[in-house]
Amino acid sequence: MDQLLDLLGGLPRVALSPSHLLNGEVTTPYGQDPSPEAVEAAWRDLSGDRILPPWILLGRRDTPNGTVWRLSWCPPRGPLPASVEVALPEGLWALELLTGESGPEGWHLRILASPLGTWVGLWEGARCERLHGPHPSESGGVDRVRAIAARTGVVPTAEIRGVWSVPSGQDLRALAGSHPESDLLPTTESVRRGGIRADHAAFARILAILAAFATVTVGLGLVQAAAWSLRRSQDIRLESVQPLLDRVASLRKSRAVLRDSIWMRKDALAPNAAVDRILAGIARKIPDGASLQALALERSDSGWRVRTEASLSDWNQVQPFAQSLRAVPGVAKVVIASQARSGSGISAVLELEGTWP
Amino acid sequence: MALNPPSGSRELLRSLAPWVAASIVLQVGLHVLWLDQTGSFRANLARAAELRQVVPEPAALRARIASLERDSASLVSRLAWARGRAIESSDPGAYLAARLVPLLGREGWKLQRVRAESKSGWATLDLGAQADFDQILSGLRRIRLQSTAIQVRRFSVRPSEHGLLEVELQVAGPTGMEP
Repeated sequence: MDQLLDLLGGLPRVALSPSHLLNGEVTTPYGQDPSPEAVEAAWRDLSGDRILPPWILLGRRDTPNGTVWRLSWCPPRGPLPASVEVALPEGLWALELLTGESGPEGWHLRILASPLGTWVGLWEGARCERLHGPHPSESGGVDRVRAIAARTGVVPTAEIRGVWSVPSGQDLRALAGSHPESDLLPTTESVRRGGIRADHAAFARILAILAAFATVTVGLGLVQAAAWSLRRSQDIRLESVQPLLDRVASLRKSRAVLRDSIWMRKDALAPNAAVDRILAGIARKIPDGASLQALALERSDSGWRVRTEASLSDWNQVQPFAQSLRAVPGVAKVVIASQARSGSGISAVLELEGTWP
Repeated sequence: MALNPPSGSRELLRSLAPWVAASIVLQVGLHVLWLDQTGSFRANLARAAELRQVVPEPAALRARIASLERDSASLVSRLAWARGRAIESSDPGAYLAARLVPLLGREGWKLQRVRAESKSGWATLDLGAQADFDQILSGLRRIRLQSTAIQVRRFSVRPSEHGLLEVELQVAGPTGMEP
């Protein structure tokens, strides 16, 4: 995953590679960094016409003659890694780790045990004077560096041991960025590999865009499928109850037709007119000696109306007769329309109203 | 030996190609594919929600069907009863007269005038007769007890000669009509 992210980020691949360490020094005007020309000149002094290898700057010491830079040339030892854009000497990482250690002010040795072997450096305070390695054994390396130091009259008084750690890709890229002179690959090869890497990065970015597009599309497709599934389940539910819905619709229509038919025949549903009952009710209330001369029954706006003319024997029978008619079931109202003497009796016209039949 | 960046048209192509690809993909995604997908997704969700709310449960539908069937059965029964009480005849007026005149005659009504007609869904019988009070009550009760629907529209009684009463009666019955 990290490699993929590095590729998408266009970051170069950096690896450590075995190399020789040939110690030397370059003197520059006070405060100036060593130029490639100065380093190359120092290399010519050391090895003649051989191709200038990459180098590692070990440390600097200011002297009256200028700034003396201690360095190690790093000719590659063995084939370089094929799948990297930057190959750094292993000694550079060892130097980085040993530089990070704290030590005494005077001359001392810094020793680092690594899977490759033992690295031994000669330090004065925080300045590295020499770096050797990797040695198969620690004692061999220490003895050699002590012997070299003894030739210059230096006696290391302490030994500091560093802790090895495997460099991460970020560490190596940072290291390559701060030490461009240490790349073991030839410049033309670095450019060629860098171009291929850039091609791959562009291609990987396109693929990543397509992958993101495909991911979003597939994700939306999954959501779409889920929504379709929900709808399908509801459609199936609808299909399952469709016969029942059709049956309900049919019954509703049938019921509406039946209601219309009944509405058209509502008159046939009404009970028959019970004129005999109201007539009998009125007849039962006629007092002795009285008689009804005429009776007419007809529908009114609010129900029925009976108009009758009663022949009574005297005036005192009129009101009781009207009162008794009010007790006939269904009679809502009794009105004495007129009353007059007729021969030897009294003739009274009464109107009864009610909601019969 | 620093890593020198390549230059020229190839570098330009390397830089632009991912952006071009991203632009094309976004155009296709936003305006065609994803738009269609989200539209379909939203339409399906909306339809599913609508169906979930609208489509009733089978148990509720069966209960509804049972209720409607009970209603229909009741209405059918009432309609059959109404049809039985309506006058189903090609000449409803004559049918009503043929049904009531003999009946009243048997009750002692001395019919003096009979007129029957059919109009606007009603068969109407208008008659005049002489009868005593008991015969009138009995005749009216017989009319009330008829299985055919009969309504009294007008009724009057007044004294007549020979101690009888003169009756004017108009009755009507609904005739069969289909909606």
